[in-house]
Amino acid sequence: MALSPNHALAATDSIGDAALARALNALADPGSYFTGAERLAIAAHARTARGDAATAPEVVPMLAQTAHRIAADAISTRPHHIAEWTAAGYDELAYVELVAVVAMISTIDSYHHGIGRELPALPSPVPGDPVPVIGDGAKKMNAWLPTVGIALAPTALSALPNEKANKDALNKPLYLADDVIHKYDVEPGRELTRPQMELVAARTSWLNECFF
Amino acid sequence: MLRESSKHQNSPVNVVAITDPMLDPLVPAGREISAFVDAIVLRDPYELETARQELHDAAGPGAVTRAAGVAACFEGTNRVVDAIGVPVNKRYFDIGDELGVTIPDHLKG
Repeated sequence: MALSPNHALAATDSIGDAALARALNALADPGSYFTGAERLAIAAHARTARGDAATAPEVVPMLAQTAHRIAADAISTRPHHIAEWTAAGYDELAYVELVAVVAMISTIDSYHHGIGRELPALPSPVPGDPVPVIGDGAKKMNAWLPTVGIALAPTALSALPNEKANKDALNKPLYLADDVIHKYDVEPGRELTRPQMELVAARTSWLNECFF
Repeated sequence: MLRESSKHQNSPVNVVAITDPMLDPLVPAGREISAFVDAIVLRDPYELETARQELHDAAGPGAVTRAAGVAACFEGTNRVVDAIGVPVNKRYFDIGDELGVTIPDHLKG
């Protein structure tokens, strides 16, 4: 069967438009350090860096540069970038929030590209001031930035529980829940087998020069 | 994780195909999956249309949406771990050698 002219495929129920919509709307909410408008501006800059948008709202250069680097060349990040961030007066956990926003829009947009859909418009910002919500016991462990417990892929955003929850809520329907990721004998009943999904994951990481 | 899941399912896999697209990964529709992922991540709209159709024909529409979902998930996760500076677990160093991948010093922890 040939795909439709725009090659769009409906998302399956198990992936769910609702999860994608919730993830997009979460970008518009005030965060721990940024307003909804600022979070959406960061997302827009990530889109320009990835070639998905022509323009983005003006923000201070540090926010724009950091969003561009993480969106288009995250592997180039080094500790000096975080030192420059804090030297500019930003909390290091605000950097974690920016990373989370860039990661979320990258996930949302890559999925839409994959199935051949137009990218969704960014929503309107939800009014309100940011309110820091920080994970209990967050501190620098083995990564450059604080985490709750040892920094691993699933815990990398744990210093900001709301950001981790947003990411987990999207990743679970797209891939797997954290609690079964390393249960290799569990075949989760997706449209691809576990080895097929792991091939996707490994090839994606290789192309991103990511070593996880 | 690819090797471990294949081992538990007693199905063959060639993990070196992760880094060498000339090789067959040996999983069902593996070549189509790899081509589809390449087109998503490398942002090639023309190749993406072809790769999407070929994966669809090889494994069905659900395979396309699931592969897009998993690739999208890792598009985000890769950025998080690299930007936060999460070190690569030492147990993966040997696999890196096998794949011809050099773990950067700044991620060796």
